[in-house]
Amino acid sequence: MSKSWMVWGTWLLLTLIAIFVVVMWMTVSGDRDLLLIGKTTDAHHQIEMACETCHAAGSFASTKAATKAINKSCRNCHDDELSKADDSHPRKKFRNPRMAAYWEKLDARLCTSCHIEHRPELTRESAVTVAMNFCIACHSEGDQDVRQIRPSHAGLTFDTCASSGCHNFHDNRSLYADFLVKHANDDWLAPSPIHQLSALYLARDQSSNRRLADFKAIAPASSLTDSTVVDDWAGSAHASSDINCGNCHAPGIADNQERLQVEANWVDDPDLGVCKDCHKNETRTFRQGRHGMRQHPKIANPRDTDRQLQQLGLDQLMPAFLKSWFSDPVHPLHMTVAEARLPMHKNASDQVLNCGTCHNPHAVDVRHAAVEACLGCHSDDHSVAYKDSRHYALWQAESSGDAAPGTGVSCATCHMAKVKRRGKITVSHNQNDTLRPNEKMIRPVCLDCHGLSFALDSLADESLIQRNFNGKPSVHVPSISWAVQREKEDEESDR
Amino acid sequence: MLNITDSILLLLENEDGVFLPTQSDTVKSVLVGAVLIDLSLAGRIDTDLESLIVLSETSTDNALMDEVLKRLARHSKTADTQHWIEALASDQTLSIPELALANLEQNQIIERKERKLLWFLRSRIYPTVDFDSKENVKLRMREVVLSNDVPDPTEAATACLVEACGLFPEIFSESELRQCRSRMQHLRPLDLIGRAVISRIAKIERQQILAARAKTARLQKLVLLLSVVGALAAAVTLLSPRIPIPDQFGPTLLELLWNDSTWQQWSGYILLGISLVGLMIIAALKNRLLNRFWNYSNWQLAHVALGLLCILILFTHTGFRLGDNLNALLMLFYLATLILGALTGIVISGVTQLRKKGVTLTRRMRVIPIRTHIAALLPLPALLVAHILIVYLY
Amino acid sequence: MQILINKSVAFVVTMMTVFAVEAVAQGVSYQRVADMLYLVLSADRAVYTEKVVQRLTLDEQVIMVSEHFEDDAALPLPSQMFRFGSEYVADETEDFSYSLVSLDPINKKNGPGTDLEREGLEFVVDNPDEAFYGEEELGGQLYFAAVYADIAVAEACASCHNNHQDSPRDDLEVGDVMGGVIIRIPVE
Repeated sequence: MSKSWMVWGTWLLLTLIAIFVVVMWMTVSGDRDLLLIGKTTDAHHQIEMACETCHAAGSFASTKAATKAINKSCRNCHDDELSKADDSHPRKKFRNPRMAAYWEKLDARLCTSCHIEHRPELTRESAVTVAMNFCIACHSEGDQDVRQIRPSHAGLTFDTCASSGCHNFHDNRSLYADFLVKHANDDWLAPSPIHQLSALYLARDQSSNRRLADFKAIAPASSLTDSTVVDDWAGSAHASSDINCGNCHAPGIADNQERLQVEANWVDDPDLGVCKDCHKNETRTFRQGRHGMRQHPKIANPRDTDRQLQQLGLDQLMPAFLKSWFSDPVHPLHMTVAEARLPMHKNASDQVLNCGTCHNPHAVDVRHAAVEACLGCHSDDHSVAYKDSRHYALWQAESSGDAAPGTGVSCATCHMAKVKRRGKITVSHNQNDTLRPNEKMIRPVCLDCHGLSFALDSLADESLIQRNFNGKPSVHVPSISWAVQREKEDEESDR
Repeated sequence: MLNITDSILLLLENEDGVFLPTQSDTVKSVLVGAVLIDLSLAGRIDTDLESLIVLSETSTDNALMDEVLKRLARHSKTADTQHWIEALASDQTLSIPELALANLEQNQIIERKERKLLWFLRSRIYPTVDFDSKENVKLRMREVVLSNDVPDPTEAATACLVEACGLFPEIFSESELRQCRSRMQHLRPLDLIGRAVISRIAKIERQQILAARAKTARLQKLVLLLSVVGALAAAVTLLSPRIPIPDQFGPTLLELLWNDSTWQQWSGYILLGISLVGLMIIAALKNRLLNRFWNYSNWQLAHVALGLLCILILFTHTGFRLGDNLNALLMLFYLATLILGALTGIVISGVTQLRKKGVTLTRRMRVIPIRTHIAALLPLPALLVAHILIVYLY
Repeated sequence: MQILINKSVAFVVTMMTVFAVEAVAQGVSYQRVADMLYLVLSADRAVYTEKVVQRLTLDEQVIMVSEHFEDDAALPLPSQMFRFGSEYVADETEDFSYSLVSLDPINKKNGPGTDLEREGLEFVVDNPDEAFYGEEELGGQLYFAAVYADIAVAEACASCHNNHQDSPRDDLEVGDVMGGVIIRIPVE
């Protein structure tokens, strides 16, 4: 064989091998970040290796089918929050054929009309991938021209609709005109500012004042040597609710009082999955937020290389070293601090995000979980500035017993919303419930203590947010005065 | 008996009755020479080193010879044979082949026929009827050239002209041709008009060579220019920041180019197509498959021009975006291929220019760009398959 | 021979009749489906208006009715209930759709959006007891459309529409046509 044939033969072989590797990454491998065409948006980057979650239409599907599948995936995770947000532009409103004229302008039936992934260049605030003056598509002509309908809007440009703190595309629960008028005369601070749901939540009867002697820890003797652990547990709500050592350390046993059973099934470091059996709501909401979204039931688990190979009928053919190469590394099931895109403390990078990260499983001190747990990892300006803020001073006063429950403002007060439903108060563990856009925070959090105008202005002032609300807002959102003015004119014309 | 003009014309005919190169300068000169020799044999003219003199203007019973004779006689000034060959060959009012063919037709050696091509294209052909005459001419040529006898001056002159037309390969075998060469050394000087024709042809050839050289030099300059532009454009593609998609709602041309999947597919596949054509040109050129359609330098220029076109279409496909991950790798190798290709173009076409300035490139310097150009090409198929699969699978 | 011709003519006539009946039946079926849908829709809304809203807000006075029913822990307005139903249907199926539209809408997006909507609304304003039927193409699909008059049945309907700050009318009275219900069925 001539030299040139050898060279070209080798090249052909290497090319085929490279194509094989790429095809295996696409069809078999769990981890395949080299295939990404661009940086995934914040939050979604956590699940970017669960490609199948969104690209659910299968290989070589038509553009229409692929788009449909992707949009279905969006709704799988985001439908609930959108419906809770009383979405102003829900898909169902645009599916009616009488909206056909709008489909061509901006097809609001599809999430992907405004939000496409892996396009960092186009990605703006809130993962919007069209120019922020998009309202112009439907609200600039004829009967829909807001500049005509609302005299106050006459000289406005469409890039200001969403950036001014006046409108959101989806969630306008605290921005609609009647609400603005209703809260037009709010003082900036209530006379006795108390966050009602926090007060109620903290005042729950936890029976933690019962003496240690009332409780009996049932565990192997060798595990009872650390008296702080036992003390912590005995003072916790777990002990008072008859949750004994065995419930978590020997999961699955029939009777947590049976010492022999407990000892036989004892696990020193139980998987924190044991929490979810009782704390269903917390688990559900935790998986909706950025801390636990990788475990969201609608998010595909890391792809199992062996199973994929079996499906393709290649498991017998592929040598073991190749199998292990394609299955390595397995994407971790839990989010780690190191993978976060927000600034985090370096020494926390090994932390894995699950229940135990914030909650000491024995003490279950919600006050620790409300501040110190957060600040153990988060090191961005807003977090670092918290301890210099008025909110923290109030929290300290409350913690030391100098002020009433609900007067303090912790990280959790704003970011772990308390929800009252059917008379029961729970904590949403979706830290995003009150964010994105941040006006979501106004009703469940801010308004208990502050006036609407003050809240709107503060949340529109980015530098004030960075200083963790240390000071007064330097931005003013004019929406309330415009709404009041319009109401006044209407009343005058009625008269 | 055929005269020299008729004999040569017969030899010029291909098997289908088509007289192909009768319009070329060389053949025209040969035919003029042949007519002049015929006239001198007929005693109408005489030639010496300085001049051509008309002896008699009486008709020769040959329309072509009479026509030429008339022209020679009309001119009072004396001029040498060389001048007359040039003047008559380039005389647009005198159609020697046509008159000669008419003569042959009259003598029933050839006949005139109309041929149709594709319904509407008509062409005239003159198939030989009297095959013996043609064969006779060939046989006489063989005798004259292959024997060692002292030749008849007429035959010697005919042989010279036939050789000048490049018709020897039609008459002699490969081995005989070598033999012809030394024999012709002796035959060529024998006839004054023959010599004038040969020197005229040599002059034409020299001019052709010079023109070809000048053309090559021009092409090389063009290759150099395109290569420099290409190298700069590729460098700009690599280094300049991406052109942003306008921050305005509603489709703009730039948004369509760089964000619309249909437009992206068009620009992508066009880019692929042009790249492949560029690659195939060079591959075919290396295997001598294209030389017969266009010469080497032209194809080289086409290759370089396609490279430049690729950079422009690449811009419509990417807008100076380099991509991420595997796409970035594809872009990197593709740009490397283009830049190294441009560099190769600069080196190859610049060699002559540099030599004029006294700079000689070593073999190494000439070979490295082209080898790296090819090397950068090697990973592209695999990366391209990945690029296309990613688009359609996800 | 005569018999054969007679039989052939009879056969052709029969077939044409069958085709015509079939064609009419097709046309009628869309209309009938629309009529039946409208009956269900208007019946449900009437029941909600009378048995829930009027009873609880006016007769027993135990709860309010409010546009911002969630904020005010109140009952949704009958028109909201109707609209939610229409959105619910749109979320579930594309086999039919309906909406409440008006020539004088409180929310501009409920104004006549197509030529047929305008024609239909103008028709039912003049002929409150009749329905308007037609066909139109939207988004590349042909639809059978039916428009039915929407009448202010109670004082509350008229007064709310007269007083709302976004309403272009302030002279509505009970019995007036406030707008129309449009039902669309894609024509296969």
